[in-house]
Amino acid sequence: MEYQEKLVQFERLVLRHMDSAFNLARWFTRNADDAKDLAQEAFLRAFKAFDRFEGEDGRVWLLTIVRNLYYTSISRKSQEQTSFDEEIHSAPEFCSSPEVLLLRNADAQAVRQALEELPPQFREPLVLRELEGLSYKEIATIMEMPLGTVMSRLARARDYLRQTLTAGFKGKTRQKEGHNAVSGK
Amino acid sequence: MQCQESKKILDAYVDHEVNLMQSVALEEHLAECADCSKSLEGRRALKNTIQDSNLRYTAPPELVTGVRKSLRFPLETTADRRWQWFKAAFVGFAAATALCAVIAAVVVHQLRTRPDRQLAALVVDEHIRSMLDGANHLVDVPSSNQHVVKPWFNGRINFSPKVTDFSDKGFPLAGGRLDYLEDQTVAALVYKRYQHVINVFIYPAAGSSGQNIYQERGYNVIYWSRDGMQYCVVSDLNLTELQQFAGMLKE
Repeated sequence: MEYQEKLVQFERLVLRHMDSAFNLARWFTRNADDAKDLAQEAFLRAFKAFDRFEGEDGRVWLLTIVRNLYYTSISRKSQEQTSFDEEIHSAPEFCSSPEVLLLRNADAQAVRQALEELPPQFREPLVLRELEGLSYKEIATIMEMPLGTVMSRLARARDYLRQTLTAGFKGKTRQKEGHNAVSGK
Repeated sequence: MQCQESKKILDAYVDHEVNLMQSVALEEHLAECADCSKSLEGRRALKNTIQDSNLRYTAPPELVTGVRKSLRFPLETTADRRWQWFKAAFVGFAAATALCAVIAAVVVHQLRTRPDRQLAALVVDEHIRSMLDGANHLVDVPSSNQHVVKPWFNGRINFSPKVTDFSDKGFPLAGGRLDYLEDQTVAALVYKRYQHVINVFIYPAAGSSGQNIYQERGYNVIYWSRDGMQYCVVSDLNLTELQQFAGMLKE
């Protein structure tokens, strides 16, 4: 492909998803500068690999690269982070009415913070689902895991968010336990 | 459906990612299970809150420019580039149109002048052929008497050429013959000027009344059209005297 033609195609299929790439990178790295570097690097990789792009969804393809790049760059840390104790954070069976009310009226800043504090393997599918609006199938493609795993990760991610956002109702002890376990990297 | 199962697909249900069978089964269960209904309510509330919290980040401008720069994108936006392409295409189109017009003009000019050149060449060919040794065909009717030559053409061609002897002006009539030019039989008058032979071809044809002069292989060709008749004068005589002769014919 001629360089100019490649640029035009790349812009049309991949580059226009820059917000998606940055958003995911931003939620991975949890700071703007690292996110910028990650996204920039991802675009350079994507452009190099663009000859192998076979007309699949440009956004899914790009986000896969962002993800792989992120996990390569923090390969060791991510190993530690997967030691997140899923048992402690398994969901309570149901929501009470006051809890529903709390969730409904949660402050945006609190939600943002709660999402940032989620372990990456739960934060990632939630970001892809709720902020990027991707389907389970697309998320499974990006995260390279079975659909069922995506489904259970999303459920757990929401359980945890729910716990964090209703912590005031449930009492400080519970919140502290939860927080320690999450940030215990 | 049991609560255990219900809980597994509750999120997918909220995300509209369950199939119809699962959906029906779940809704049946929800209708009779308050706990799962509460759980669903909580999940929906959370989902709405997340989406209302405006959590999505957008790429900062420096990322956009940084990426474009490192990929060596042209600095203009796509819109600019499209406009430039449009302009380039327009200029190209205009240039092509102009070129076509020039080519067309040249071709038309060639088409208009080429028959004349061809005619001059044919006339010279006939002139040379008429004088070939042994061909003995310079004149069919050898006479300096215009009153002999002119009637001779009657019945041989379907027009009557004007025949005048110019002996008194140094261009004696030598005779006439039939010749063949431009797909038709033509009258050929032969005049002499010293040792030079002058062929005059006369035939009916529409043409410009202006006088055309060509040099062809050392011969001079003058032709013009008058009253629907084409006159072609050809000789190795110098052009000045030939033009003088042509002037006499026109009178």
